[in-house]
Amino acid sequence: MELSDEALCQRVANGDKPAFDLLVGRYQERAHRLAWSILRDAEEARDLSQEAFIRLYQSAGSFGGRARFSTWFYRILVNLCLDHRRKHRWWRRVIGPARSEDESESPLLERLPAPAEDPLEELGRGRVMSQLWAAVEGLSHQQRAALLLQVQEGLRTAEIAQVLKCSEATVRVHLHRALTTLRRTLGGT
Amino acid sequence: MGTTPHPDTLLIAYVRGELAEGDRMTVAAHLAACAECTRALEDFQRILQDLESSLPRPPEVHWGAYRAELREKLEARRQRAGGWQWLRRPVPVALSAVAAGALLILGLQTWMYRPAVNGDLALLEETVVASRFDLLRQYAVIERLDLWEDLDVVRRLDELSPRRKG
Ligand SMILES: [Zn+2]
Repeated sequence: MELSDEALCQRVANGDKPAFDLLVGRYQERAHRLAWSILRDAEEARDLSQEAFIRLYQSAGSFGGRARFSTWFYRILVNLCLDHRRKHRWWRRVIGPARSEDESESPLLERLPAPAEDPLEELGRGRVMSQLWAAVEGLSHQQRAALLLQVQEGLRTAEIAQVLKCSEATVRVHLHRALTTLRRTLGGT
Repeated sequence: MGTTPHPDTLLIAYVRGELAEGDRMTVAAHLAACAECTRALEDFQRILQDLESSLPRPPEVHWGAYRAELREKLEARRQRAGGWQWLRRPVPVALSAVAAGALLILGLQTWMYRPAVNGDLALLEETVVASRFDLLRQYAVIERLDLWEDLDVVRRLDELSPRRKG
């Protein structure tokens, strides 16, 4: 009964606004979460995830239906975010102090899930997780995007390759390097 | 061990069950003989589980407001696209600029010679010319869409400067 994402996208291509609203409703949280994970900036995440929906509206007709809709949409979104980061890298350096103020508004530790049972054990675990995510922050954009698409969005290697416009072998290298870095951070060899 | 190269980049695909049968068996055979890769695999698996179970929460969003904002942006974009559709026709922009200039002169003449008689027409022409000049000016900037982001940066200069001073 419920229309698939792909069918909705087809309708959007024919100018069906309710279909667009439905797709936005289905993807808004995922899109915003993914953009925020890549950009780590609330305003930019909001802006670029909305931009991705605008691009979706404008180019729904070019969705060929060969890939899953989600993969196609993530590709639009992730590339917007990565392009944004690339373009603004020089700028980020210049305004470094102002930015870190922004980011310190909500330290990563506060954004981790609430601790459960044993508070002491949880505190230790919280610290490790915080360390782990800080290390994720330090990865290259491509490595981080590949990792987030895997652990957060549950995409398979082939899908990540489609999103990042690279080969599966490249995705494997990104993931392996990312995990090797994280392992080293946590004291593994 | 040591006789086969470590299948480093296949390990993650292996734990996720994404390898084709041939590769899967190769990795399994290697793991059975290589303690180093087995350790790495266990660590990778644990790290992936840790990441999955501790995904940072993005900031709260009011989704109604988010969608309203999106609709506004979309509408603005559509109006803008409609507004300079005529500029996208395969007429060179320079030619359009010349035409607009000619229109301006015509408009001025009309305004100078028959201000009282044809006031409405003059006003209309003026409006058309002014709006087209404005569009031309916009078009020159918008031509490269990626400039929007730079414009955005420039816009934010104002927001940033007081904070940097203070
Ligand atoms: Zn090995």
